[in-house]
Amino acid sequence: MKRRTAWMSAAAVVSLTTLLAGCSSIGGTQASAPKRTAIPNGGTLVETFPTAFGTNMIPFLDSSAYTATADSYAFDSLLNFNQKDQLVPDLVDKYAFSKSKTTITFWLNPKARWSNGTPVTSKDVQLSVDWLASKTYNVTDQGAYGYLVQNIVGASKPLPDGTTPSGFKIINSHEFSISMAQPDAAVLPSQWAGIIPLPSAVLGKMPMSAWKSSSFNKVPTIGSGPFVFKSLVPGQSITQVRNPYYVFGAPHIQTVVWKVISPNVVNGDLASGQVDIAGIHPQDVQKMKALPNLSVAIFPSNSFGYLGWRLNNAKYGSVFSNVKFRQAVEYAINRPALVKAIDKGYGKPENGPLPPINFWYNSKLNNTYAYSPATANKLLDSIGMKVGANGWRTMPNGKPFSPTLTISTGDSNIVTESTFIAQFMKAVHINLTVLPPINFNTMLSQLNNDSKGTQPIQGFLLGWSLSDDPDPRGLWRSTDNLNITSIDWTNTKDPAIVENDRLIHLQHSAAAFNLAYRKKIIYQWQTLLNQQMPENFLTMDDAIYAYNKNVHGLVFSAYTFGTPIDAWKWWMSPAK
Amino acid sequence: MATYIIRRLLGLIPTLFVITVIVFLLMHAMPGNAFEALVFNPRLKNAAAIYNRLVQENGLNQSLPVQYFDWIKNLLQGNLGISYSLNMPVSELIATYLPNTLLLAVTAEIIILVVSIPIGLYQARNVNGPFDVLSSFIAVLFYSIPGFVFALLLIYLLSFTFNLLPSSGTVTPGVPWSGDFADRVSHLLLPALALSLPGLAYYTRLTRGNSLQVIVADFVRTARAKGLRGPRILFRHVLRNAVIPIIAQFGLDLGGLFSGAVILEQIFTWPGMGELSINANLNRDYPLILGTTLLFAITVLIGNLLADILLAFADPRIRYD
Repeated sequence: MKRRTAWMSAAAVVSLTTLLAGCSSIGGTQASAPKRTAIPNGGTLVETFPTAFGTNMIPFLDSSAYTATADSYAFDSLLNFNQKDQLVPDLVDKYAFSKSKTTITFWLNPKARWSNGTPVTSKDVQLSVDWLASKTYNVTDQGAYGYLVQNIVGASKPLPDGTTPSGFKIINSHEFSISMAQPDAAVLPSQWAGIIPLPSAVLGKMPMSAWKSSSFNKVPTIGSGPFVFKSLVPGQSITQVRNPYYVFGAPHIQTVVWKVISPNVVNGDLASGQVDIAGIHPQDVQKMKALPNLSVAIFPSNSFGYLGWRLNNAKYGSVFSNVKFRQAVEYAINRPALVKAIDKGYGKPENGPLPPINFWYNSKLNNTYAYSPATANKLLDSIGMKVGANGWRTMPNGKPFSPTLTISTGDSNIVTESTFIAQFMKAVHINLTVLPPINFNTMLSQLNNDSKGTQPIQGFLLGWSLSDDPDPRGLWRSTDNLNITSIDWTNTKDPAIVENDRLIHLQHSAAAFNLAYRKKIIYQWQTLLNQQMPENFLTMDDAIYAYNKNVHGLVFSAYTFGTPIDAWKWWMSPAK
Repeated sequence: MATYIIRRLLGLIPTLFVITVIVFLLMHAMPGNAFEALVFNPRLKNAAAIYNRLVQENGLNQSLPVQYFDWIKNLLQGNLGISYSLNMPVSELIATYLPNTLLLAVTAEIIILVVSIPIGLYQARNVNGPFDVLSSFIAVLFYSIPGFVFALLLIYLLSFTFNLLPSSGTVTPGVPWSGDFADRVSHLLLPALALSLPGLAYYTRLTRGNSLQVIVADFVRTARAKGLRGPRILFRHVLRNAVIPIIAQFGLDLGGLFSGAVILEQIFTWPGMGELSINANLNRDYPLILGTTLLFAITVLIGNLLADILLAFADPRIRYD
């Protein structure tokens, strides 16, 4: 799931899963691909944030997903992901594993430079590792990204500021190695690839405890990304200009402006040309396509929505925790109809813990749980949930069964979706009542503080927006005990949990360095979850962007949040 | 008067204390805290550890009295704490957002007073005339329509359709003239207009009503009998007396100036106190909730005090000694 602060505001997640919508094929889409020789330079591109961004601009200090998005233009990471979810070179142009698979040696791209022309060196990477492992970062500054370096030998606990973990070694100015204690096949894509070198010539000269209050944190004067910060107006805009020394070549566009624009008026701003690119809702697609100055890009997202059940609920937990109940619910929900009605056709039914777009998705799960109220009724009958005289099913012990569905405020699509779900349940004689929407934090609180199953929440609608690597740790292990899904399913005594944990372990084991093996294990794990239905998987909603026709070369990816990728390739038609 | 003011200012302290206690308790009665969203980030492989550490480091595992007195202790040292959601000092955030709110609110108030009082007076002078009927109709219409509807209408017409004014922000980013006087004024016009229209209608009606009561008073008839000119009667005698309830209302409005106009600020992406405080509440950002509430409480109380003082100046019959 994606976040709105450094770690993610769930409201963003929920709105994301319903906001995104779309179509087609794999990974992403490219708006147009002109020949570089004919490309003009210059222009100002205006992008949007729906709410205010945080103003800590040093990478990893960002406190909102929007700050992180703007930061991603200014600072590149060691490696990156392309639109097919493949790890591709960035500031690092090659890497090699040791025989034991516990050490990776990295070579920085000789063309990697800061925007002032000085080279990006191993010292800059070391500073970033030191920062992520430091006490100041982890103790004082929230430390949400400390996990990126926790697998490095010597960095399992916060270190005194300026201390380098013993597992990080500089070989020369452009070569360094990072070691872990045990081989972990997921560590590179899910952790180390995301390390962002920091300018040691600037930040290395001041104590880490002073970084947050430094002027560099307010407007970083240099960067390694395609665009670097020029100015910032708190709460409303960030202006970035192109980095002439960018590793893949200077971008064509001269200036990028990030503006905070109310979602209420963003469509009008797009139409009037005050904004060049922004996410839009599925219901606005036709309207935006009809405008002469706009194009619409629709592509799948690496996210999905689900219907969860409190398996430990004091009243109905015994029913919710029965796998046949959850399977019956999956058969009872017409997911293609949800895609059609809620997402206007821009999406796909979701069949497991990874969306169909994902590189690691097991396509054998397609068409499982096809809409079948008859099968649902049969399964419910088989667990003793009889239909009473009033037309509603009872619990196996004959007591009334009237569960509730909790939804969060802020997204009208969720309200509509919940109404559909209640109707689908009604068709199989389940009396599901949709509760009035509640604040998202209230919902989280009910989920996270329900060890006795006495909170009012029973069924609930939420979504996940996933990271590039499919590593399920943090989300699906039985030891991930703060996770709502873990509380629900992986903390039950279901024998399938052992298998779940075993597969999750295998997918990052030494053997999983073999791609085919890892894929096989992740396929098995998805099949297990498809059978177990720890939560009822609903739909993957496509992402939809409208953008001005004078912007070219945009590359949209399912794996990137809030903006197209490869900003250095974009260009704008000269103003007429 | 000085004694009265000092006595009133001292009286603010226990009131503020009670307000902060109530806000503190209500804030903690809301379910959830700012860090619970952590567990929903699949990128974090150790969300539980980070969550527990943040809860501990921010003292959320302490009893409520301990947390409250820690906050008071820091407040007395001029420290309002660090925002959980924005990871910045609360005082810095208020210093950033408050000027925007004040600029917008003061501009709107000036528009309201400068336009509504003359109109209200003129309506009263020509009661039931064509101008009175037409402007009263418009005033009631404006007063009945919420400000955000005006906002969207103004944006649609003046920004999207005719492209005359920008629809959002306080300055134009990324241009050489960013932040200059004309740039700021162009950004201020639409939100100030949207914010002032309903208030303008209300003050017009208030002025008209009060003036009508005064205009028939004996001293006005006497003034006319003495042969004083119409405008002199209207501005010197009628307005002076009609304005007293308006001053009382203005004093009450003063506190509201600082709390911002939440919906309008969101529509116009105007980074002000309204948006800051609403987001603080939605995100369970306790230090920011307390910081903004404290500011609002102080300004409301001081606004009331100022209104009382202004009344004493406007109405010689009022004495506070």
